[in-house]
Amino acid sequence: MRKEVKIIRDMKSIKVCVEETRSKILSLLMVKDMSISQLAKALDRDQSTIYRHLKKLQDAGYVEICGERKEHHIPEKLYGRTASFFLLSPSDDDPNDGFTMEKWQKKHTEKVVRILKNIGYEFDDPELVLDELASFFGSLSERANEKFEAAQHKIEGLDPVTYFRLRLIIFLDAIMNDDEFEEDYERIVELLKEDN
Amino acid sequence: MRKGVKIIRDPEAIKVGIGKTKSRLLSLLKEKDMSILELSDALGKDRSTVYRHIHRLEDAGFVEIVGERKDVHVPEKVYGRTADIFLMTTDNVDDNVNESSIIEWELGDAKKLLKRMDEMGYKHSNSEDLAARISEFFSNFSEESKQHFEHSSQEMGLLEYFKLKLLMLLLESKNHPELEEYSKKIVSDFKSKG
Repeated sequence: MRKEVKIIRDMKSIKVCVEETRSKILSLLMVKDMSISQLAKALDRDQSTIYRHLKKLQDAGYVEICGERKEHHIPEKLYGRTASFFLLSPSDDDPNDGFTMEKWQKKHTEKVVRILKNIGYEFDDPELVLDELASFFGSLSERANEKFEAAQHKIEGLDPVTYFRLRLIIFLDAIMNDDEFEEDYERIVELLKEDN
Repeated sequence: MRKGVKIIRDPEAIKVGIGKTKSRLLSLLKEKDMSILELSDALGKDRSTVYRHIHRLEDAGFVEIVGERKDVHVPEKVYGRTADIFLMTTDNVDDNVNESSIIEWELGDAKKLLKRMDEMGYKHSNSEDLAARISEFFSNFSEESKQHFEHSSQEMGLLEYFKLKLLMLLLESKNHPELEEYSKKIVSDFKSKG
């Protein structure tokens, strides 16, 4: 049965789902369980490519076969997600490998920094802002993941918007009520000045 | 051209966008522009149903025709989203009967959120009040930030959107004490159980 949240700690498994095509497959499967041919059509890729990616996702525990459907009388397996949301919480980074959660977090924060700049925030040292924000969001994420993990058997019926809103409220609560985050917050506000 | 953020103010349009099948169609179109045939295949609904929903989404400004493709020699229109994120805002909505369904929808969303907070061990008092505050919190961006957002041409996912929302809230709080008071009020209603 599909869970609401699933925690992924193993660095090897985390690497499996951050790859571009595989994360697209996981997004599509949020809408509905799909067969290889449906996914291939939706993503404009060969069925063999999709099959290969699905196999990796299945081995790492992200998807499972959850039914069958008939397409022109040919039975097809249906793939579905094992959880609505995957929480990436690495137990430790593998030093022999270039991939780290820190890098991943930075890659995802780059866009945030670009947009901030676009909408009129000014900063002298973009690299520093990126570092600070990436580590800020990294530790906030850890906090939110802990909360979700503790409640994983109780939570039901989570949609994406509620999920992200929950994370935002958890972030806000941590920043306002926890000294640990207060300092980071002050530093970030100091770094980002509005350009008026 | 597809924008990062588009503000939807028309209550009738908002009602279109929050429909169940329509929001699933919008989710599918996040990954890729698609034709009616592809959408109906992916969703498992017949083409005429998908066509009807897409048509309403088009009228309301959520999707547009972005090209054409030949499928078995039959040309098919390809539809795409007009923006990555639709910011639905009801600030200017009067309390007339017609639009109360949207406010109710938002309030329902906030209540869902509170229930989840409950399950995660956050205690809170006076749910009705808090739900109203939370729904206001999420539907309101300051008018200024909304404009900024709309004019930024960056593509955006939900993740970036919420990160930015948090940052802007924190930054603006520094210049506007009443805003800081507001966020404090929301979190002070929660007590973490441990």
